[in-house]
Amino acid sequence: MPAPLPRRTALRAGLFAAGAVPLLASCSGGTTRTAGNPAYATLDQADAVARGPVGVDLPETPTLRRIRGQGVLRQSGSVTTPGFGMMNPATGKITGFDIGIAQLLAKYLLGTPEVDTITGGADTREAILQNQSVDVAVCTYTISKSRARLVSFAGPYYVARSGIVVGADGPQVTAVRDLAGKDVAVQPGAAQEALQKACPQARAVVFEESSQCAAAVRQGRVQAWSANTAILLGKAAVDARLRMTLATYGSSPFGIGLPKDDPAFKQIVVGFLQRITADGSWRRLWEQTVGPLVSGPAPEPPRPGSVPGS
Amino acid sequence: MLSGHAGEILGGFTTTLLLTACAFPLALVLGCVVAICRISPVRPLRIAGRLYVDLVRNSPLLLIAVLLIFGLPDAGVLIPLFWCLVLALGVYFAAYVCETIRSGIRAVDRGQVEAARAIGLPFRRVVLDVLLPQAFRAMVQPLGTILINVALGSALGAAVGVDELTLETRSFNLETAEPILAFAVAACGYLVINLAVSGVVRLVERKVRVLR
Amino acid sequence: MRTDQPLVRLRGVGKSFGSARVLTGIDLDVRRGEVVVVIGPSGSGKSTLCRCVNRLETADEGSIEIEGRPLPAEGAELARLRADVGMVFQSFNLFAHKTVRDNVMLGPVRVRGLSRAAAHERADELLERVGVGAHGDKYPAQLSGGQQQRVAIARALAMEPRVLLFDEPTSALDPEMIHEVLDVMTALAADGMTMIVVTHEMGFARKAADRVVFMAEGRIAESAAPDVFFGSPQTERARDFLARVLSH
Repeated sequence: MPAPLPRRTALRAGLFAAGAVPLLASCSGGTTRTAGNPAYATLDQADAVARGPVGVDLPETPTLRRIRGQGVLRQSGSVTTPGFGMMNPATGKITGFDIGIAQLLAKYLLGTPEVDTITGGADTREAILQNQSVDVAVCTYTISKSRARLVSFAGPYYVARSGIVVGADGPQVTAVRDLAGKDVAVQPGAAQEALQKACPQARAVVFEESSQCAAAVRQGRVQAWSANTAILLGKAAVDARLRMTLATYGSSPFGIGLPKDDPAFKQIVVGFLQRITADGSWRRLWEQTVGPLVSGPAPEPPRPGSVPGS
Repeated sequence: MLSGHAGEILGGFTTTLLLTACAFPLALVLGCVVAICRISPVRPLRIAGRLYVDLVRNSPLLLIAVLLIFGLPDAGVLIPLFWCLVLALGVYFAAYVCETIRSGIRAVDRGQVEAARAIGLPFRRVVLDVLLPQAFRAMVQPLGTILINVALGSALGAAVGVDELTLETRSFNLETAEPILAFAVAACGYLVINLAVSGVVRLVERKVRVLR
Repeated sequence: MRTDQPLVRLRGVGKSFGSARVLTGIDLDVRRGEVVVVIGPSGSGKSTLCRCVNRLETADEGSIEIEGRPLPAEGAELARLRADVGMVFQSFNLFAHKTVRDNVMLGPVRVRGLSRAAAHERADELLERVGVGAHGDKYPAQLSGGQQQRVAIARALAMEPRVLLFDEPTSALDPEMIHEVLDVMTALAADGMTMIVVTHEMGFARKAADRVVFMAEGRIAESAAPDVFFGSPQTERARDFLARVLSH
């Protein structure tokens, strides 16, 4: 199973090269606002991670022993989800809330925020957790009962709501049901899942990258783009040809995916989440990642174990 | 669990077949044109043909697809995603078809062409009546491989919003969290196409086998 | 058109392959109805000379005229000219993917614009004439070498050429098949076909040629009627050559 992973990474690299096309195209659009995604680029969770806690007197578990043996936390993450896990192609650094959580967890377990991110995508999360290609999955991973059969979840650590973006002169959308019969761009995973659940009559058009979703709306290929509100607000804020609607829907409880066979390790991670919500690390991380993209004060962090499947 | 999603997965399979059925003939026609350019006596055409092959073969298929999908609308041409992908697959595999034709042509005895020229056939007829039909025999097998690669390459649709087999499989997996089952089903779908193509290739090869 | 004008006229024709000089200063006139047999040791440029006449090889220097018109450059006009200059190859070069009859029909249909029916009829006549009338539906590979070469002659004749070029037509044949091809060629010569024949068959040269051209090292060393040439060759080279080929 580890064999396909490098290929996958190569595919992602290709997607990066490809993603540059719509970005370049948007530069030539003559908009007075700054093109590209400066808001994503300036995010940096390093401070929040540096101030995060280190776990003491953690019980021995097979997973923890393995992670400490490696000296690094291997996680399944995303590098194409603005605000949560987005790689800056220039620096190679990944920024966002999810990668911050992973780094905080690594620091909690190892003392240093050493994280190895494997971009397996939404398709392979369960499989690579089961075969121990990764130790944890922090990748806008929505907790669900069917997945809880295969993996354990610690969380939720974040509850996302989906929003809807249309073109500047696009259709009126006041609620998710208005998407019925429309072509709606989504990224695979949590966003696609939430849309299909909330409005099965919408036609989901799946693009790998947020920049492609945005381009598809601008070019009129789709009538709307639905994603996590953090992603959408960040994008709409910098592109005059996109308009954020007021409609939000669903609630996707994101959890940390864990191997099924180590309940003691799950307790450690739940303890970690309780610790960072209690000591302010969670709020600091939010303010340095998702916060700048959405307006308003930081929400109350969700209580671990509060949804079915966790 | 599968039965609830059989419709979608079957629909995805059909789309994969349609993509392949549209893209492969396009690649054939385009590849023929480029190949003829590459062997033509006209130098600028030869250069253009070579440029095409070098350019396309050194670009990932995904790059071509994304260029067509997001580049064309900026040029004022909005083609549906399905046809963008057909175009991308056609443009991409045309380069490989071209090279297959060229090597097929190289496999044809020089004397065949000389004889055709000696009876006064113009270039076009030399190519169509003598060169290509004979080159075709050497091309059946590699063209079959290209056809299979077109079918496999159409899985790219999953990254660019075309509801083909891989995308439907991923959606199925997303809902049910059954990656092994889901991708085993997809693998079977591609295997069916692969086997069917191999069968047809064997048939055609038997049919066009030439006595020498 | 004056009838005393040569059908094929070569003046000062020269050719090199890279640094190897293969033809030098070739002057040759072939009259209507004349049969010219070109002989000489291998590597003397005979085949290249033959292939230059219909421009399968391009001469580097000098001029080649067919019926007073210089050979055109590559293109439609050259194709038209080639239709009038038939060629028979050493290795037959029948179209492997076409039946014997389709081999003969291809030129008339595609170049002369004959209807398929007319071309079919004509092809069968010609196949009959060269003695392979029973094999029209077979593929070339199903025929013996001698039969294939006779089909190749029929294919050339189907274009009703002004002149026929033979490039060592019997060199690839088993000995027992050589005579059946030579018989056809002899009959053609008797019918008044203009022919340039590159061959090692001295018997054919003696019997059917109006003139023998002897080549050595890319030049025409001698050119004479067969009885004159074979009776009293003028050059040392020709005498050597004849001594060798006639000794066995």
